[in-house]
Amino acid sequence: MGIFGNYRGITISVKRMKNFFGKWKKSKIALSQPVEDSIDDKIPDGISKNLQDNTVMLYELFGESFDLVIKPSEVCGNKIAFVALDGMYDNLLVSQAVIHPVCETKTADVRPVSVYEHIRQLRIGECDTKEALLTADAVNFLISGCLLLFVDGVDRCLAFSVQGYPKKGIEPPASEQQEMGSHEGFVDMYKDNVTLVRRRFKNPYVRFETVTVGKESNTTVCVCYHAKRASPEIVNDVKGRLQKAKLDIVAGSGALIPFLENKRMSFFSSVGYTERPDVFCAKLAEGRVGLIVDGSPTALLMPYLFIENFHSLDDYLSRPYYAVISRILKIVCFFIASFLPGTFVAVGTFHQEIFPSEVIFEIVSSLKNTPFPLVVECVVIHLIYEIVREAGLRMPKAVGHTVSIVGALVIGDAAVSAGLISAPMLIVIAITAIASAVTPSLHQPSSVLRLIFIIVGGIMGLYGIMLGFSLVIADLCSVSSFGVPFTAPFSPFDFYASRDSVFFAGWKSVGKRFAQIHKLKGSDIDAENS
Amino acid sequence: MKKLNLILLLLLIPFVFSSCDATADKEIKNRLIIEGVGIDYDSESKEYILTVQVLEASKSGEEGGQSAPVVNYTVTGKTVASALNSLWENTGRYPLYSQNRIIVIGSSLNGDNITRALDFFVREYTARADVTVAAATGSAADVMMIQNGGEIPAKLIENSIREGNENSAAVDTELYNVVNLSMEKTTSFTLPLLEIVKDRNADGEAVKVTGTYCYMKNGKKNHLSDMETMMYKFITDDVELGTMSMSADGVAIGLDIISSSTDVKTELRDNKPHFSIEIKCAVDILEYGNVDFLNIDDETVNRICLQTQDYIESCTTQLLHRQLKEEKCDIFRFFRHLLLKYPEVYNQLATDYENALSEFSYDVQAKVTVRKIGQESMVNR
Amino acid sequence: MQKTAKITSFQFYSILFLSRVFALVSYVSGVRKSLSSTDEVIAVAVACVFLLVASIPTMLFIRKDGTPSILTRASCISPVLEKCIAAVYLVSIVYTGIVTASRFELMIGSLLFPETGVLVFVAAMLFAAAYGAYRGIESIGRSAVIYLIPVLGALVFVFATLINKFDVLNFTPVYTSEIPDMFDSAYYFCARTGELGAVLLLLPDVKNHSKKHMYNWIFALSAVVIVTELMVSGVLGGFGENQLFNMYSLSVLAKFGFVERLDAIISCIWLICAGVKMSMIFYICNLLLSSILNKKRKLVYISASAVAVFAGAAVISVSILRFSEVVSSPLTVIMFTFTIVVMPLAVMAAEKIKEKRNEKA
Repeated sequence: MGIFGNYRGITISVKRMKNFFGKWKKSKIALSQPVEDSIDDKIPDGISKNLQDNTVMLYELFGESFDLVIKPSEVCGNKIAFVALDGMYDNLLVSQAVIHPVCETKTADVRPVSVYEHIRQLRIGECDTKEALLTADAVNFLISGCLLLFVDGVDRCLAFSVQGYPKKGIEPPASEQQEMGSHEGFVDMYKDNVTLVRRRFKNPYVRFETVTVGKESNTTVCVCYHAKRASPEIVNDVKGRLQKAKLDIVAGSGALIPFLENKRMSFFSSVGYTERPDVFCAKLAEGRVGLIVDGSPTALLMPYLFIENFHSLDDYLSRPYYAVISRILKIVCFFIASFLPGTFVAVGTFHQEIFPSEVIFEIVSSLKNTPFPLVVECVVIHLIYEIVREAGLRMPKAVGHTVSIVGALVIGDAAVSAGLISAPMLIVIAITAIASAVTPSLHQPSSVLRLIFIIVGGIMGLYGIMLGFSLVIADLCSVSSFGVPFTAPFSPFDFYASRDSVFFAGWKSVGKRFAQIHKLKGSDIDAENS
Repeated sequence: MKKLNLILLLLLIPFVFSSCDATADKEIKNRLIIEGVGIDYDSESKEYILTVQVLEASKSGEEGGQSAPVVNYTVTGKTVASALNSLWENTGRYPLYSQNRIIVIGSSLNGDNITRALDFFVREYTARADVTVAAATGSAADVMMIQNGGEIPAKLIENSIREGNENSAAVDTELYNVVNLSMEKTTSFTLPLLEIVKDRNADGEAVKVTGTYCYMKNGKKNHLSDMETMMYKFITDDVELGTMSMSADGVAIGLDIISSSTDVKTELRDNKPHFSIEIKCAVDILEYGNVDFLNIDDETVNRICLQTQDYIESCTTQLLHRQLKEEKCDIFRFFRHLLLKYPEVYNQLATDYENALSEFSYDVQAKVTVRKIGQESMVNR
Repeated sequence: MQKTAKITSFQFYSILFLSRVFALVSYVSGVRKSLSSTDEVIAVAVACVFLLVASIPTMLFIRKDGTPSILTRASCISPVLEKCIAAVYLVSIVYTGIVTASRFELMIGSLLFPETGVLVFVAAMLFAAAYGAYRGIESIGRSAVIYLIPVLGALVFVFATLINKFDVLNFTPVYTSEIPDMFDSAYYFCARTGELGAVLLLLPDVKNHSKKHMYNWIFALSAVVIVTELMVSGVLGGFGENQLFNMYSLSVLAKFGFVERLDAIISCIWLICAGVKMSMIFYICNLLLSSILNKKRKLVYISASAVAVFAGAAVISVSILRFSEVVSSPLTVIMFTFTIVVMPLAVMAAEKIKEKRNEKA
């Protein structure tokens, strides 16, 4: 019973199958579970008084890593050890400002604790000196680039901030090019970024508080806010969400966005970002909370409104009338990028009367020779465009121009000549591509929406597009960014704040009183739970 | 719950995508784009003969671009709908009426047949209510099939009517106006009249608007000349711009009409309807054909105003007499004026409105103002 | 700060205004009594007066210090009364939804996609409306404010471009039609304003509400309705009596220079109002079902309402005759009178009686 047969000498039975699948299930469960870090069990919580034990502990923790440097020495007859990670410290600073004064220390009381205290109170050059009581703290300081000093007989250690790891200089931001703004952008080091902000915002009420995120990476995230303008609730909410973020590694600031947004998924992100310190300062002044993530040049800002996707620094530095034109242009470009291909497909398939009489002949002549329905043609071209765009983004710069040549000449011109696609469709996609580049922050949602609207337009015409539009609007209107309605200041309408929305009333008007974002109309409404 | 939503969405897709097949036939490249329709009627076979002008994209570039990119299909049927249906069966392409520019009615159709023929275009959801309707002196087919280089005939016809309307030389009747006026039991509707002429500039034919046809309720029709058409537009307050030429005291006068407004007052005199028509008009002097190039003075300007007023009054009175007394045709909607002001009198007269028209009285007063006199200066003598 | 689920008065009345715009756009003339063009205008104006009069019980219902909904006030009198009232409103609102969906189906099927099966479109619209209702009243309110601009823009475009074609001669003498027919038409037109029921049910969700806002809404609505009817009669004349949806016919004629034939876009913009109206209906259904069944199951109630409306619309829309019978039946008038006039007065009367009994006790 329960035996199915014999395969190559192996009896296949129910019991064997159960065993097989049981092992498979266990291994599947095992793979999904985090690997237990057995080494953690061996690390004591507190620092040992025995220098040898501490040294062994560090060797065990860092394993075969070549960059762990432990240099033993002696002070006043007491054994000490300097511990650092090679490449993370400034050699000159370490040797001249730390090692030399420490080793030259002479005290009357040569007990280890006294020697330790004496060294702790020494003014060690330009370094910040911290004390670690726990092993975890000591390790954190070590991997942050500090130089640790262990004294035999003392159950603490000193950490000297002697970081000197290689870093990039301050350069103009890669993505947010401005005509009139500063040419400084954020860099990877969070301390340098904080300095860039401090230089522009010389106000003691601007706070920079650090939080550690990432179970394995222990990345420092700096929470920035203006204490007199930001809402304490939002600040605490941000900190709480960061602490609850279940991440092993914080690869970049973008990895934190899902944890900062609300539970409901939406096409549009309710967390903003910028690479510019001047923009960052301006947003902090409006009562927002900013996050500077160590290792990422992109800072996050929240609460964030939908209309801000169409704002740029140049608007505030130019004449108000031009700012209005610029913003309206960006809004129009967003609509073109999202709706134009779908609208063309819808009009071509269902509502042909909309084509002006003067151009209908040209359009029909061009479309006549193509073998595919409009919707298929549009989807294919859209996908080709996305492929070309992605290839251009990923390829090395030296070879990148080849992509544009291939895209333009081969796909564009040759495909039209061969009759695979029509010229009007190509023009539509080209205009769409250019328009989508005007608002880079909305590129991702508009790409997806475009595809959806192409399909919907091909199936249900303009009515389907309007329906899809209404779904998007319903989605937008139900999103709130830390309690502030995402569609503010339009809905709910806030007259004062709307002076800096599509229109910019000029600094003389807007600058009279800064609008605090958490005081916009609708911030007192719990839209999430209505 | 998310999985359930996804499953429901996936189940919906086949129902939604099932209409994909249907859309392939309705795409613009697969449709018969109708530019113009000519309707004739064969009283012997009692069938409508439709000349349907269709845009043909494949004809571009033929004969060096000398022929228009259209194809004319001739279809017949007991009804307009059945005739157009056969078009679909013959070509395999679904007709699109929303780009239709013009409907030409042949001389073989009278008033009732016209409204019957146009019913399809009123009901069809792609056909538009603002399409221009015109009449042909001969057959509509001849008008639709004119050869004029590479121009689309329907477009030429539409442009002729539009320019004529702007110059007050033609009426621009749209489909919904025809329906509106047909529904009034006492009003006759008018259509611009098209005639084929030789185009001196191009080696081909052109269509010229030569006045107006008035379609009476008794099935007859009468013709208004160009001048009468302008006077008709004056009375119905439809003049926008235009030019008037007249001769007075041996001098040819050309006037450019800048603006015009007409007020029709209805009253009862001896229990009979009387209509006082006041036409106010502003003109510019285009030409004052005197021999000696003498400058115009105040007196001349006043004389021109008076002569123009007399001209307008006499021409409109002639037109009113001919239409109301002789042809017994109310193209001016006087009965409508009567209905609004004296509904009980209207109800009495409407039963025998043709005879009632002969009892209508009217007076016309024109007031002309000369606005500008051109580049020549004015003198005070 | 304690957050509450409330929308502003402007958002609330935007929802109601768009709901009425759809009723105006989908109005089928002559469905009950065929009136002449001038009498149609007069009937509509009289309907606005009727609406003002019919809103008096609602005005009396509104208190200065924040008004609980009619259900809450009924529950203070008796829980059974609350459930009965909720049931009556539920039937009325579902009926309104079915008629709205049928009108929508007729519009789509006659004007935009006559060759395609339109129940798919109706289902899609109901799905979108259910999604909006599920997101909450705040989402509906904010969306309504955003849609107000294109909807009003479309109306203004149509009216502005057609002002030249306005002809006084297209009107008829007044009282050409029978006066009882005019009053019947007027009351029927007024009875289609079931939005007053939404005022009675959704007041607690509206902050800073006042009677003045309601008056403003009624006057704005009346102005739009009267101007629309004037344009329909003055521009279309007899042609308008011939057409199924007059507003659509107006949009066909609207053109400005080379900008012409935009009726598909304009009608699609107006059709969004159907989605807003249905969202509000589903939201109210959720409220009423929660009250009747004493359980909060938002997704289930909204889905059930959507399915009921879809099924009803599918049954009604089978033929134009059946649609005509249902739409012209006196049910609309009866429900309006009962839910908007009688029930609020009855609840207020019951409250007074209970107060007096308590005082005596």
